[in-house]
Amino acid sequence: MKTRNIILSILFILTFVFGVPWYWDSLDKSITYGFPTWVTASIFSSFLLSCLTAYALRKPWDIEETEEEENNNIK
Amino acid sequence: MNQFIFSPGAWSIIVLYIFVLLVIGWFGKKARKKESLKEFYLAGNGFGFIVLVLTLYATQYSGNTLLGFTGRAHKVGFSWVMSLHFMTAIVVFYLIFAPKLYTLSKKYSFITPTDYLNQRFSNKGINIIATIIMVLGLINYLLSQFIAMGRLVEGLTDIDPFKAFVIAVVGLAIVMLIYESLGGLRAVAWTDVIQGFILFIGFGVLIALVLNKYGSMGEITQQIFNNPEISKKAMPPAPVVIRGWFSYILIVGMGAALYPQAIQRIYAAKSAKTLRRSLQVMAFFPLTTTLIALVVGIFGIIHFSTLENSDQVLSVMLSDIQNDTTVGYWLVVILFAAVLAAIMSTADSALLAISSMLTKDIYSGIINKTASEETLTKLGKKISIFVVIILIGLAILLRNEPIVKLLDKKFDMLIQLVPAFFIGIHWKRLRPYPVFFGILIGLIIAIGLSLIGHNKPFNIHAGIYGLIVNLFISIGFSLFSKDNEIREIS
Repeated sequence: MKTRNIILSILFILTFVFGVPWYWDSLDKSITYGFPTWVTASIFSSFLLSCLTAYALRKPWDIEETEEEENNNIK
Repeated sequence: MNQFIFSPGAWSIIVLYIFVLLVIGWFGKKARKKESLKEFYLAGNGFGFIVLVLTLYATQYSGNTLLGFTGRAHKVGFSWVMSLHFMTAIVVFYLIFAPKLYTLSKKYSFITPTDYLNQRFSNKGINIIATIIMVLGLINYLLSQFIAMGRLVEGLTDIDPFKAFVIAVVGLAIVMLIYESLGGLRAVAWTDVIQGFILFIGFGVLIALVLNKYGSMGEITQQIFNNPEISKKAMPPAPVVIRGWFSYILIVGMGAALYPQAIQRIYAAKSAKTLRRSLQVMAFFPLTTTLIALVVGIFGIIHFSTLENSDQVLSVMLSDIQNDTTVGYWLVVILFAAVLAAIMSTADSALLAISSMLTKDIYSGIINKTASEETLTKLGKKISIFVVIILIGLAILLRNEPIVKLLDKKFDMLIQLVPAFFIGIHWKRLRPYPVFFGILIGLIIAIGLSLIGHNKPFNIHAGIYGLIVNLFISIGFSLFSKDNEIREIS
């Protein structure tokens, strides 16, 4: 497994675990941006997960080089 | 319940929308170059970015997202924010297998998910059991969409609700059948573009209407905290609920990533770059859909606290908004079209996937291996009609089942395919027999636990227990297997 993939996998797991409010005080009644704070934290982690996913998809897949070569050959 | 009735003007908009779907179906037929399975089920050479992203969006976000998710948020409160995570998790799980699956699909011209399994494992048992799991899962899914269609319409007319339910289910199912039979996946995806667009606008309209009518989110949250009877709906969840979150995120994330109609869209991408970019956009859609459904359901907790059936919260809220102003009235009509679009775009994709699997994997794979492509395409259309007739009957019989409850069960079965897809695509040593017995025993555990009344022991889905044993069997026995034959997959 490539180092990049290992780092990404660890980040995915950490963000996912952060998004589930297991660590929150069960009596907390604070509000942030209109939501209970634990919900805002959870939404924020979901947004981070989306960003991470989009980042992971930035790098072209191996097949794209093959596809480009094929297209060039056709041209 | 506070009812609202659509005027003839409003109905004519809906009829126009349905007519447009039929016209698109006709254009889909015109664009078809020949009678082949690839043309019918994968739209020939595939879709570009806009079509792919909107068809993925419209297929993934169903009537359940609007009706079921708002209902669930109304019932359980802020805990339903987990829906945001499980919808994002679906795209995350695609990262594991979509790139390689796409590569293989182009190399070997896959049409159904079972084509991959056949190429990877060459095992009839795996092919059959996987096809049965996926077809049953989809039938369950399609059934819930049919019920949602009927329920949606029954609240909008002054005729007997049961009659309205039947007319809606039968009528809309026939419309779907027509455009799908005409243009196959091309028609379904093109209609998805319209439906996806309306759905996207619909979510925007919905949140604007709700915030305009009922005030700010902060006020609602404060009111929930201040009311001792409902304050627990805003408090951080208890440990037992937390376990449920992990379970839900894993089961929906993995299960929905394995939806056959979604896998077929991976196959139908025009290029790897198109697929990659579409998935990048998909990663952000939960924030514009499930989050809005959550907020709407939460507003319902305060404003419709006495509602007995939470699934009705959206329609009750819309009726409340619609009665206010003329603008509100027409915006609700747009929203109704959006809900209808969400339901139909998901249902037609599921129907097409069922038809492709029964035709290609069961009939052509087992019963008649020499059938021509033309015969198979025609058979596929007949199968769609047969499936729709059965499901209309079931929808009428089960019309009062809660929507989310219906949806829950299919994931317990679908995730048993995780070793075959997620691991099998990367790990060459994974062997057919351990995979087959893993799936079988995983299924027995998942279904067995449900049958004896333990759907979620310790608030964890029965399917997760099945998957754990399934993974031990498929990986463990593959490691210790002396069979030296390793199938090349790359």
